[in-house]
Amino acid sequence: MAGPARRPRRVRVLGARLAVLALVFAVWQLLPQSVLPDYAFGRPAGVLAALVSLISSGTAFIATAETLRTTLLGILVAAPIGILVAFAAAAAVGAWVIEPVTTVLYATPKVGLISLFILWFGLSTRGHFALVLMTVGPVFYYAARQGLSEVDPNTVIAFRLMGAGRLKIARSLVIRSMTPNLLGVTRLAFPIAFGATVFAELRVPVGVNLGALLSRYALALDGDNTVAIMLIMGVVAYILDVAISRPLRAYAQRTGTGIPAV
Amino acid sequence: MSGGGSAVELRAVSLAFGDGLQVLDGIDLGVREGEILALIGPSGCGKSTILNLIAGALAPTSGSVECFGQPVRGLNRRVSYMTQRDTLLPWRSALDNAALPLEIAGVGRRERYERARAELARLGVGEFGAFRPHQLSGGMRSRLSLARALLADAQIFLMDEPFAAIDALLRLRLQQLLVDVWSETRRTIVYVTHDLNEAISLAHRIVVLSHRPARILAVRDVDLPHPRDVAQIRTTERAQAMYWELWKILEGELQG
Amino acid sequence: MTRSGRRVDPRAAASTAGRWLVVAALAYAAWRWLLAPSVPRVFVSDPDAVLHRLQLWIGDGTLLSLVVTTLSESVAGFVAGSLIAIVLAFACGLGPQMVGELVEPAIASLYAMPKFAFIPLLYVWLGNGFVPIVIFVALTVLPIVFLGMLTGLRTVDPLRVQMLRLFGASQRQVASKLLLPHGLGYLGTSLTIASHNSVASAVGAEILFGSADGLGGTMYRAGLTFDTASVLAALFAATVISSLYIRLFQAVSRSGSVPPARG
Repeated sequence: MAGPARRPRRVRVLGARLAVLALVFAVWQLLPQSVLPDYAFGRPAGVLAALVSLISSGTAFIATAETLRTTLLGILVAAPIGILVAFAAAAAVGAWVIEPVTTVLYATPKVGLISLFILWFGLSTRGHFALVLMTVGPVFYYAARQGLSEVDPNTVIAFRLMGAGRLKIARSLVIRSMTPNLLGVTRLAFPIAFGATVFAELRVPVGVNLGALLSRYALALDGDNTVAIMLIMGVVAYILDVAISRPLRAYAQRTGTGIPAV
Repeated sequence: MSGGGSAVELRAVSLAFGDGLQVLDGIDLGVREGEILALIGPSGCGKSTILNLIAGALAPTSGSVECFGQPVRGLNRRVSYMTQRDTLLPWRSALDNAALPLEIAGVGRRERYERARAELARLGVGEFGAFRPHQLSGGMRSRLSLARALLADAQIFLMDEPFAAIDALLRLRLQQLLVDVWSETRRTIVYVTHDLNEAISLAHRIVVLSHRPARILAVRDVDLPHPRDVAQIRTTERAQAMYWELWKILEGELQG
Repeated sequence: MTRSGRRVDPRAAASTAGRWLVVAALAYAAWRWLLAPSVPRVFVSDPDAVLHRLQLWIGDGTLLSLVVTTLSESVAGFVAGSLIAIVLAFACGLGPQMVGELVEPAIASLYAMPKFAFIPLLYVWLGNGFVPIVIFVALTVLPIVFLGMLTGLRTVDPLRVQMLRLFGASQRQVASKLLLPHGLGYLGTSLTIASHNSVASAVGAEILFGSADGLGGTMYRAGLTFDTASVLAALFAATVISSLYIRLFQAVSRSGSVPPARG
């Protein structure tokens, strides 16, 4: 469409979106208790007040920091382990044993592991961390394994003919081949890790973190704070995704790497 | 030989894309009703662009495009366009693909299947009506596309290197098929190719285009008799002389 | 021949089965060997106890009942979420552009959000039971199928659209003869991806809701009573069900699918 026609269109879209939001708020505020109970959903004004209170008291930041700590630490530890296991599985001997184990692990609904972790760690935040590890690890494992399988055997032969040792091949060829897969999966890893953290925090609501707060407010029938925390989680999830995908996309464009799903 | 009236008229047509790329430069071209006109030129020179202009998929930056005396505005319903890349629908059988233009026009089920079956048989792919495109070879898909184009019953056929991806022997057969179909139906055909032999074998007139931005370098009548035997015609002296003449014109362009 | 039409090499199948049996046997042996008498059974339980529990459940029909509960929650949620997603995707892809502008950001924001965060609200609103869990599973599935379908709808080859319009197709005919079948071709992929989630979502929801029934519910209650053997048995059953579910989906989508819409 020509230039002059575009600006009014953007304004129209924005206007429509704001109108819909206003409608949603109005409906939310006015629906009767029997349809939309406020102890579950809160009311717009109340949610806003709750948000202001959570932010000004600092609780929102403390809780977010704690949840993010678990998420990020979990990824930082799980990623190298997953990648190393992929290398181990690539070695002939390792593959035979490791593959069935990882297939089973992948098929297991990781959420079920939380019950086991409660038995092991009791009601502590260690369970949160453990669940993130077990959820994110296989993701990196499979990405690394995929990357390893994509290494072109002809290129490997060419390298070896040139006299390159195993380590040199590993560095220049293998890691370069794995990088797009790993970077692509990094983008996925964050919402997965965040989701696992929140799940663990909801099941084991100890400490000051987003999941624990959510659980406590909901059980206290405090609808306003419940929705407020959910909104905060949504915003955090969005920021997390943007913070990862923008640099990834820039890196992909700069180096000409094709990163899937970015 | 041809109907005599003007089927397509391009007057002083120039086309530049938004980013400043000048594709066509002052093209004056007339296509006579009922003739086969071949457009040849180096790769990327804009031959397909001319077809797109006739089809109404593109509008010229300057100049005019007319079809049977009417200016072309928007998609030109009077043409049938066989593009280089096939546009068969992968989830439909060959018969359903062929019958598509009739289906769109609202022709009844029984009639359109009868006509589609007849057309497929005429083009030698009658037994493959139940197959899906991905189960057919390249040559069969080309014939299917041609069948569909014929069933669309348009007055002008635009063909963009339709047999380019086919092996040489099968290509001769398909070219002969096209000539035979033309003999029966006397449609106007605008045929883009980079193959000189093909142009000489098929066309009544050949238009030679320069490299981008394209101008018309030459227009030659192919005074070889119709109906033609495609395989045999290229061995005649006249055809070979024409080949040489056209090659000389093109040679200079290819170095550019 | 397998359902997907690929020929199964009997020797390869036997060697895979043999390999799994060997690894399973090794795992069992390692488990028993590592289980020194001093290690409290509450941590890792006894493999024999777990097998015994499974045997018991199979025998008295408990396993079947648990599996049916969890699976019905998964399937119901999956179907509901997928249907809504498909309708929305077609509305956004085929309908007026404004619809897309309004609906798409709403669903995109749902996509990144940790879905389990909806459970406390669902619990307070609807209590514990089949319906809230189905709603939850639907919420999990919806953004995935929606996004997959919408992407599919938007990648229609413009050359094909042009082809139809040159044949005189109206906008409605373009939609019904090209966009609709093209979009449905993407359904298989989206559904398969979404299916991976739905069993785990159901189990996770049962755990958070503290359900009385279902595999997740068993994990929850057994955890409360330190019945590690039951937790592990339920976990094992959930693993098997989950992988069968995924395989079934892959087979169905492969058999019904059309090769990608390429020229």
